[in-house]
Amino acid sequence: MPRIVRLLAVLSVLALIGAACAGDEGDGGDGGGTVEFPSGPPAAEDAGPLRLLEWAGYEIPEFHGPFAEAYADVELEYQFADAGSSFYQKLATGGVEADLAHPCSNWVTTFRDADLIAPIDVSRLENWDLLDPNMRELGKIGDHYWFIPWDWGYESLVVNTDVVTDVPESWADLWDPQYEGMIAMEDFSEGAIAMTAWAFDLPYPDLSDEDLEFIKEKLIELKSNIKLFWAGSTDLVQAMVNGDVGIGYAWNDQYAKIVDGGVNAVYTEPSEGRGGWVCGFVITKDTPHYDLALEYIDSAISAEVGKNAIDLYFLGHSNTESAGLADPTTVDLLGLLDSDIQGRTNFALPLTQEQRDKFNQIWSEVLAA
Amino acid sequence: MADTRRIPGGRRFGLILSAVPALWLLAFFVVPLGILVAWSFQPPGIVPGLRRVVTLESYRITLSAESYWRVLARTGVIALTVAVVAVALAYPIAYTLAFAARRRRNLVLTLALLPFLTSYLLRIYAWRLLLGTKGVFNEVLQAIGLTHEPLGFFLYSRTAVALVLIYVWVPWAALPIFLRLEQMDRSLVEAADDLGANPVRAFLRVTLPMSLPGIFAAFFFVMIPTLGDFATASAVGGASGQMLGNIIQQYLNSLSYPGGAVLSVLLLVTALIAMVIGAKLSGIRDVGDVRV
Repeated sequence: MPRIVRLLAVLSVLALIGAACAGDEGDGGDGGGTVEFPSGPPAAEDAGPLRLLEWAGYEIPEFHGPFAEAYADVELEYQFADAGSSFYQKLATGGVEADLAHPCSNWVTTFRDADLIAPIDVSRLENWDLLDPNMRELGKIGDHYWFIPWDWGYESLVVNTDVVTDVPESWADLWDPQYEGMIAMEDFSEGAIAMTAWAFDLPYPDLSDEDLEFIKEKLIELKSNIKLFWAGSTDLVQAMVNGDVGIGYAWNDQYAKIVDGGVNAVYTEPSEGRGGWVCGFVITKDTPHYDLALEYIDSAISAEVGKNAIDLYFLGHSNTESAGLADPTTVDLLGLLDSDIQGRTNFALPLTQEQRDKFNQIWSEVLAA
Repeated sequence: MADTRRIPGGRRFGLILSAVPALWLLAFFVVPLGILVAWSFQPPGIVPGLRRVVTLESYRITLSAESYWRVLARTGVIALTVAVVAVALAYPIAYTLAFAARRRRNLVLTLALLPFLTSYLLRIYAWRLLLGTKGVFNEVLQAIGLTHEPLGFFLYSRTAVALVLIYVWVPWAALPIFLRLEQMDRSLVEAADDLGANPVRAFLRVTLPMSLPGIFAAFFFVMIPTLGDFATASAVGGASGQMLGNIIQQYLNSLSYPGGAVLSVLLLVTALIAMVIGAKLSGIRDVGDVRV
């Protein structure tokens, strides 16, 4: 026994030393004060390299054709992240030095509040006017745009109609006891909390503590209908194709793969509206290649690149002209030109750090319950 | 007892020998453990780096969540079940290796360890093919007419987690028991036989008690790592089979290190308590102790 006490004592001392030695690097800026666009060499005189923090698989030439043509001498250096949190972590800890990063809209406020990103001078983006106006506004904080939307997709319910005869018509229907043990939910706090807020008509994401407590109870209640939480995209596709679940909270590209796997599936249009994700580009605050970064973004949001994003990766693209150039079958399957559905879609709103902390805490408790 | 184990110059040589591993452990075990504990005293939420603050706030928030105590209890029950069953299944293997396999023991041992040639994660995923709705188990049950539709509880359940973990641990659990049986003085069993004990009685009164330290070692070999497991539960556990390790992983994935650190400390303390209780129950006060 004394050995354990000694071990704990040693650990406590180390803990205090560790805390004392640590700097205050975690403190984010308040994001206030005057905001100016960074200055740097004009793109034509900048030899790069341009450093990108990307999702793996997004470094393909088809996604930066126009840029590569105009700036053939500029090398693109890629580093990769695999989740919103890891984009944040890599930039915030300085683990990665990048000029551009590709997080999603729900993280923009956190990046800005931590003083990691620069405002984007959209007047210098030729393709800016062609972007979907709703998605454009996701990146606006105060007077400036901090995030340029690039790829997007839906989050809704994919239902195997061979197994589920009574297809849910709303998010609220998921709580119906007839779906006991039939649902695969994404292991994603924001998605689960947003879905519950829509189902019970609560104002996402500005939820009071009472709202959050209610949502937590509701999600714990929903666990009897949830068979599994999927983390990787293919986990859901496998579970649907193998018949382990009949209903899945899914992205539209997963739906396409599930149909491809031979499942008679529908991608539902819940009465509260589908969920939607939008990812895009941010420019880091201290980049020495600001103009070049703008040029890269302008190339990425061109309809030419957008067509490739749709055809190759089944993504939606922020440029309203992209879908017109892409393979009609894909566009149709994904509903990319259905402005009615898009108009009713709840695209992921940026969260503050406080909101994200609370959401994560609730979700952990739901998983544990 | 201790004196008879001393060898000339052993102490100094031992110190020299252990210097490198000790430094290794200091750098990669003790210091990280200290950092972990330091994180648990940080304020809760997403923090990119350690700050110059010490607070019990993360402990207060985390330990007051009722569902964490439930998941801890569930984790404890799974670990206990897995350890008991794995040891029970491992004992016959160890016994066979020590007393029955004779010249074929190398072959038997190799066979027992063969699964380790394949990655642990791959083997977990392979279990999905066995347990799924369209998996081998369900196909067989339906083919022989025992069931008419697939049973859903094989995969994505606590049963699945326990089953896969038992499968993984049985060969490990056999090793300490085998070593114990191997070292046993066989003349004691012969003496029991000479004194008229039948084989079952000789086993229960002589072999089994002699192998107890091996059994306890095997038990903790299995139980402690199972307490902290998360890969198995996340692959086959589903919504109902989440273990404390999954919740810790959830905290780490979302960069909420302080809450994850608190739960890790909780897990560590639980494992320590389990070991102390186990040591008390088995009467082992020293690793070399043999209590019959």
